[in-house]
Amino acid sequence: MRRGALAPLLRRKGWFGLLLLGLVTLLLGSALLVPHLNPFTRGPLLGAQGVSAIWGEVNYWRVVIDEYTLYTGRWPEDLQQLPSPPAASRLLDVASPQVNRLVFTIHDLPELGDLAGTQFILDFKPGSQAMVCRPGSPPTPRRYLPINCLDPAEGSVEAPAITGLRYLILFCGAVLLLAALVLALRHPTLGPAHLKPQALRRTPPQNLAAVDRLLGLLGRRTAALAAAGISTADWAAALAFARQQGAARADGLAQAIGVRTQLKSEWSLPGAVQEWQFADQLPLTLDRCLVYIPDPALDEEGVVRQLRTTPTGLDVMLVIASADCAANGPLLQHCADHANLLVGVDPAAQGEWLLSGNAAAVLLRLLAAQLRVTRISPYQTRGGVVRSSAFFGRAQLLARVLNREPANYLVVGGRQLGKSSLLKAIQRRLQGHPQVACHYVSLRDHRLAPRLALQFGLAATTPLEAVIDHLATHHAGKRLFLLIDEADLFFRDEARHDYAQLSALRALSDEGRCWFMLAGFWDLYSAAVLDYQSPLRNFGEVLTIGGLEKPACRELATVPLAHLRLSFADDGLVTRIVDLSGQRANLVAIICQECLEALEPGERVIGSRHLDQALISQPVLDALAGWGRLCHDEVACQLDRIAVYHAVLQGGHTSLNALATLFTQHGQSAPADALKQALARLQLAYIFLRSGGDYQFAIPLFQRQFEEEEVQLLLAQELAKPRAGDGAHRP
Amino acid sequence: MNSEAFSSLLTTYMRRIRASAAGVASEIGLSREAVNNWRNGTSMPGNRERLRGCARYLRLTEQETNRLFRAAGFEPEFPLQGTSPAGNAAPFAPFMDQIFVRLSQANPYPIALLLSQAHWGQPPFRQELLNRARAIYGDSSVIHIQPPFSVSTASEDYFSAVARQCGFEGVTSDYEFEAALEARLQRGDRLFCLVSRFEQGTSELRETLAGILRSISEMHDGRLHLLLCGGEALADLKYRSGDLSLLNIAQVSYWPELTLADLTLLAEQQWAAAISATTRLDLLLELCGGHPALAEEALQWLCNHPVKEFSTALARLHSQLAMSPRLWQTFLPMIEQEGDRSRLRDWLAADELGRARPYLPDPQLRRLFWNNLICARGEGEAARLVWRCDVIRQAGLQVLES
Repeated sequence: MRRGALAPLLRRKGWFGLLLLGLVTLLLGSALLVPHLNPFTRGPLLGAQGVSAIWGEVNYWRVVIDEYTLYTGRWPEDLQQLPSPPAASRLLDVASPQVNRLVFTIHDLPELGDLAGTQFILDFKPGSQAMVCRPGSPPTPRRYLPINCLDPAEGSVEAPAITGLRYLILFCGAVLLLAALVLALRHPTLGPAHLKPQALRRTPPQNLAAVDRLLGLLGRRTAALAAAGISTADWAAALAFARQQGAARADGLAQAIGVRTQLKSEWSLPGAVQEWQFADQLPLTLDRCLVYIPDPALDEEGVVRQLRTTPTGLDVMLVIASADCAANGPLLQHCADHANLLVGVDPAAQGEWLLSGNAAAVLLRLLAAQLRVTRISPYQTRGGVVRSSAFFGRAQLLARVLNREPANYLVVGGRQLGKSSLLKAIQRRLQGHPQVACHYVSLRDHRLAPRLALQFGLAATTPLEAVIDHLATHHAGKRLFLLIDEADLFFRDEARHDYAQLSALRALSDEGRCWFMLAGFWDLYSAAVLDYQSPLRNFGEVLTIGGLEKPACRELATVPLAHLRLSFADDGLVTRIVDLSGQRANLVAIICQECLEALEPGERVIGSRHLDQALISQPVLDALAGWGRLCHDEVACQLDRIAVYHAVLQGGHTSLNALATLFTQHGQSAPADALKQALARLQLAYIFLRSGGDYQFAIPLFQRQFEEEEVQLLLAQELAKPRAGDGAHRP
Repeated sequence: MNSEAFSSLLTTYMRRIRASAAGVASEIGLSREAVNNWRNGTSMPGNRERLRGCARYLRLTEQETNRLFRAAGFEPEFPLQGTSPAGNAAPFAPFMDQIFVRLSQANPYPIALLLSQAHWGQPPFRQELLNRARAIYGDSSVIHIQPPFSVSTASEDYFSAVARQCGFEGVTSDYEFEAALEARLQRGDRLFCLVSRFEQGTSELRETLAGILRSISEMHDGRLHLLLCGGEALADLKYRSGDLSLLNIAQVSYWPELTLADLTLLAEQQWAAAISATTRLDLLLELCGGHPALAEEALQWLCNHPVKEFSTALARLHSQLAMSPRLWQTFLPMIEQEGDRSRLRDWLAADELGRARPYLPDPQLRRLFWNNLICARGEGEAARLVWRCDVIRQAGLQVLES
């Protein structure tokens, strides 16, 4: 048989065991039934058969020597002078290297078995017929030497049977020891604890009690748990879990991962159904899931039938498999189907969940393996980032706020650039601070005081000072820090009403009662930077939000993927994403999300094909749209559009001078101040990046949405539109 | 035309929201007497646009609007919206399912915009969508908000009306509405909120409503599932205004193109008489270019004019559909200015009208798109804007020649 053909056979499980078993049987059988054919028993057998002839010849020599010494009174000088046994029957060569010593060398004959070619020595005691014998070189096995002639000085002198028995006992002992070792190492529950301590973490709960008992008996519990990295508290909790049934089991798992649970009674599934609400611990967009613990009376097929016939909605459902659930059984196979939202938690995974000390990682692995990755995407593509695991970078900005004495801040930046994420990150970091009480408030309109009042459980008519007093009382001894998001409408209204409320905020912070961080875009920026009359000018430090740092962009792209055991094919793809997105955080997240969408079932590596597909996806194009009206002044927006269209036609960059020339070429005077503001606005919105006097697109992808011919027309349309106060500009 | 049915329908719908004849008249630009004449059955609406405004003001659903239009002797405004069986046999069922899947994945802000072109409804198949929502979220966890149309509504009335739609009684201000919605969320499970024709009403009240919904979404991560439906005006709010952060963080979906499978289902359910052994719905779909109103007119015409040879019918249908009043009523306001006429003429002669993108910067092109005369074909950056079908081009040329 060719090696190639044999290879699959050799790979077959159990084949080697069978071969070994056959070989051992052959050896043992032949040793008992045909020992002369067995290579291990043939030598001793022939040796035993030939030993009497050997000792017959030795006795012949003894008699001859005795007679000679008796007649001559001395040891023969030459043994050749003595009569020899018949040559035909001789089996020994004999020599006397010294007086009173005979050295016998047995002929190397196959029929003598393991005696052949060996040597032994007889030493006669002078003046007596006594003698001692010992093995020579090569040695004759001691068992062939008569017990009465062995030299006691060379060790214990005992009968071969006794020696044999000793060997037997030792052999049996060794066998028993080996068997015990094999039992301990190959024991289905205990073995893993010794061979691979980490495997102890995946012990199914139903085996935990037995393992615990055996480890206790062996006195190895502490050592095994330490080697496996399992805390004794987790071990005790897992043992308690193993004794539970039904919903209590789900409670045990919930406790290990730290989720809020709620029993759901409206489900018709036999067994118990819970709803789990995840807080911030999962690096996924999964905020809740259902957990089903099937009725123990139902077999696997029954559970699958129930799951097939019951609509489980749009929530992921964890199915806690019973102890007797087979690894490849119908339930786990059904759950593994990516077409449904079921995730099977097999007994081994339950054990790992409880014992690994990182239940979230276990859940993550199960979700990633059994669901489509897009269902549990780790990327948050819209709105303020709420999970700490999804927030990357901005370390300098955070440090500027967190490592200083309380102060007022104005966070300015375009839409979807990360203002809310920064505010939420600050809130997370100040949560539980011993000296600072921090609250996040998202304004929905211009009314600040009613919004604050309602958020803190007061009547909407409560004045701002009273709201702050209420908070100060509630957080006695702590400094108040209010993070106010979406503040543009507030500032727009304030500008119309002489900044009445803003003055109140300023007074509060001057008195050291409360500090504020206000976030917004153009209305905030124009009030803080452009309006010289505005009390905002010295209200607080202005923090401008722009692109994310490059390393943080890379982390944002790669770290969430790693949680799902996915990766990019090469580092160049990540660089491409970071570069094309212009380091805009939400665009990086959207592109990565779209890469996940492009993955085929089973694919785990994102390649350039997926990225190309992602870059032209609708969500990416959608994220680049919506820049045409950055403020409420239509004339200002018109200038914004002119600047952008002009930059498109100039290969991605423009300047104040170039725009002024453009206006002149079209017979219009250049509105210099308005153009400066437009460029500042586009820079703040992260449409342009400024480099000296040159403005270029911040996001390389941005320009790809335009076609030159169309942009020429659009630019001509915008330039032709009348602008407020246009007459003044026309030459 | 049945003037009695129209007057009685109009009276019913007006009584339902306690609308006065003066109120309706001021909203649609007619005199109080003219509206009273409609109610009394002494005259009928002659202008489709006015009737559309009236239906919006009365907050009629797509089906109610169709009933009112039929009673007034007009073709229905939202065709293909008949009662369809629930479940997977419903047209566009996979897309509707996908909407809910996307919402469930859009954590922590499950907010989606569903944009649809003219004649599809806002949202199309609203009842079916609500039924699916009820099956997923539970009957008591589905609310449907249709903001009042009137531009003169005071804040108290606006939020009182919106609160009543949500089942909240005694609400008289935006803060009370917010508190009631928050209490509702704290009390129970997740809440699905369908907001249809979001763009209706004054911008100030709309901003307040958007602010409330955003604020509640912010405070209750993933609990309020919002589906905002609309058309051109909602797209304008999202892409042009940028002020409503609620829309900034929303996922955008477009109502999908009519497929042969959907058309077959619709034809079987509502125009079974139009289907004969020789009927080729694929050719019919191509003829209509997936335009819902043209598809409905074509199927209705086949019902009324049974023919043995489908190819003969197609030829007749082509010229019939090119004269569709709905197409003409769409084209006519677009050629009022000379500049617009010449651009339209150029476009009608062109094979494609430029690159498709989420928001079209050219206002005329945008109008053509939202009026459902052109559509995007192709994927990603290769997507181009094209006329839906030759029928529409022919209608456009006829309108220009007229």
